[in-house]
Amino acid sequence: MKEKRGQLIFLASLLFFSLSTFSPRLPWTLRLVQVPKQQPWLEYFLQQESIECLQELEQSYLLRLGRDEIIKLRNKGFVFRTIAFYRYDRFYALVRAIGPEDLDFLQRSFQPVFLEGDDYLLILREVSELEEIPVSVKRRLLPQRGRTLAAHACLPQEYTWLFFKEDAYEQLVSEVSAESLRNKVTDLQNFNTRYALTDNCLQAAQYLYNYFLSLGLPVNFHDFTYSGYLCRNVISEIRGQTYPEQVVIICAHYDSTSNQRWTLAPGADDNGSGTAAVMEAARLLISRPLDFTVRFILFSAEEQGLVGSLRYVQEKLNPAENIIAVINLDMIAYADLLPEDLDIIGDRSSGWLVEKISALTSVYGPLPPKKIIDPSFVYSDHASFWDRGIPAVCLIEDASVPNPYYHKTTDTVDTLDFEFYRQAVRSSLSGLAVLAQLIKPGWPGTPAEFNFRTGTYASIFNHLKAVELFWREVPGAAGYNVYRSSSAYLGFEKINQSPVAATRFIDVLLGSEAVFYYAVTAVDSLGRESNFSRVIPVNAGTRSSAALSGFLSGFFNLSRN
Amino acid sequence: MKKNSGLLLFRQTALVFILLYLSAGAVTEAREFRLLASSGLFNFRQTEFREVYGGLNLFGLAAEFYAGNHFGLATGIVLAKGQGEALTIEGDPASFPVSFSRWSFPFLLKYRVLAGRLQLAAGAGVAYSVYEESWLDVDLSSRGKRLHFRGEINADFRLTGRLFLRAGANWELIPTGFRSLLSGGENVNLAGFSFLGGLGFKL
Ligand SMILES: [Zn+2]
Repeated sequence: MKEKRGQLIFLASLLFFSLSTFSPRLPWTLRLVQVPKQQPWLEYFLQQESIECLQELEQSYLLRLGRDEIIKLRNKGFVFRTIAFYRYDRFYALVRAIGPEDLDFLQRSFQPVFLEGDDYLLILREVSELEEIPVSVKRRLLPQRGRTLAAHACLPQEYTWLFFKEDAYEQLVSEVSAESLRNKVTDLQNFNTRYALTDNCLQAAQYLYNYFLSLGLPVNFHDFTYSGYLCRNVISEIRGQTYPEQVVIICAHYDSTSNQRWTLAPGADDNGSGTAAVMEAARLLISRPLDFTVRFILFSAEEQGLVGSLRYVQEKLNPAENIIAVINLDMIAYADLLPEDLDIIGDRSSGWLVEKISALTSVYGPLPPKKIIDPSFVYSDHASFWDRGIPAVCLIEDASVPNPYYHKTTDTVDTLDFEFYRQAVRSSLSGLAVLAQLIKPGWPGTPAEFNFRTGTYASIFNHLKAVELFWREVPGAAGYNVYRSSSAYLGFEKINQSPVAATRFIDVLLGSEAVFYYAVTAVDSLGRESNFSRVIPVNAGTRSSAALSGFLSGFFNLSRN
Repeated sequence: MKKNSGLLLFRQTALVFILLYLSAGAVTEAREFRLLASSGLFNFRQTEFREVYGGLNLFGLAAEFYAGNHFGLATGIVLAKGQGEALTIEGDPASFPVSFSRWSFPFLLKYRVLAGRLQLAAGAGVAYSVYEESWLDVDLSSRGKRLHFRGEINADFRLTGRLFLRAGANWELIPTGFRSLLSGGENVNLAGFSFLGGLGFKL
């Protein structure tokens, strides 16, 4: 009897133990929680606990939390609100309903959870329920995986970029042709509708595929099904000559919608304009050598809640590649008043990119840029990249005065302003070419195969913790400059006094725990400097000291105490 | 503390030299002066140092003075130098060339036995060494100087009346007072064994 009770207690405690071990992963213990921003130490806490943030809004964060995390959040005295239990078999859509009729509809047909401003959360059993919502409601499906907040997100205004007009880039953007853009948008409009679930949209995909093929570029469909329908992203690229694994993406969604979406959705501005701009960029870049790879992606099913880009980041990200930046173009051809400004929107980790593209826009557009850091602006494909921590910006015509033909059957070519459009394309193209690094003819080549080794090295009397940087010799180079920064994207400073003659440079790491970023350039006898090599991160962190004591105790049989 | 004992050793050796010089006057008939040029190889006692440099090249000039058939004094100048590569303690292997050199001035008391064309000798005393290690690609170097023990044995083979060949070996202990990662955090001792051969001339 006693023995049986003992067994029972043992089994019960085993069950309890295994449940308490696995409980944070069980779906019914996960909750969606909204936490208002502006609470001291909140971001620090979220970073420390690696809490998943499914969506950052303007005034709050939407978090997915386990039971323990909720207890911690409460114990720390943070204000928050539990919205719902999180279930993996449900779909969560963020919607922005601006008109009262839209809100009425949502309230009649769904049970929208108010978040803030015009933002609501819909919890759906079937993703196809989204199709019933009026087209004027902006929407996005929340990713299944959240992201933890970036520790070093930098805000704009902390740095400035200054660009001077350079011949090579000016020559490139001068070839942007309004006529060529008009032809492409007209072609796209002529499919009548590019609503993602129609055959017409698949025909548009084939048209885009053939276009890249006609330029002689490799092109692929990225197929996926949405609600039982085949949808296709179209992907093409120009391979970088120096570092093909470094990638800059320019993208736009080519699908469209309207209140008669099955038959008529011309989508000239939304988003024939972005699509044609990507096509134009490919046409102008094929004849020019670039250091890094430029990838052209035309997404489908954006109007269904960014489905195409969501599937792309889920299925197509290659860990061997480094995506430097994403430029997403969505509605760049409608001007309500002139001079129209171009909105350049990023999240906080894309602040550097917003600044860079803005600076280039004022030089090469030339257009007045409006820099916006708004992590809640998630109603286009750039947001799928933000979720993965990839720097991305959205270029869009002044959003404060919306296009009156937006998501209507009247969004046609004749409503577009082709001078503004041409300038917006010049801006985005200059950004793309600067990021992917046009190789200027006659200038020193970019040092290739830039790489590093780190370690601790010792002679009899001295030892050194160092990073050894090395690269391939550039023909005709008189020397090299080495740059270092504590950020991957900005703040690089030259660390050599005079040009380095060898193809190797040693930087002593002063036992700091930071990550340093390095790049190298070649200079010729006329003092002309090449493009930057790729940027490599070097961890000068704690790894070494632990390994070092391990080595010493192994090598010299030192006792560990 | 160590420096004091070195100084003491130096004083004692100097005293022996003076005594020998004075006693030399008494046995003038066996007085002999030997000059010698030699080269060879120096090997550090510590394995890690050998891993860095291998053997150091050795060049020396020596002057020996025998006051009689057995006792003599020796001095001279010796250079040991070499290049090598720093050891990778941790991380990725990388090549950091390093160089080491040591100038040494020995003062030794010697004892010899003569057997036909052959002379066998042993000596002990001090040497004053100045050493320097530097990294060629990086601005890192160390230098120091030390008075330390030196012992040697050698065999001379007389070729002609005045010319002779020498083969020999030396042993040195050179504590430096520098701590080093390669010595497991202990003080470095540049101790080592050298072999050398040379050509001598008897005055
Ligand atoms: Zn759009």
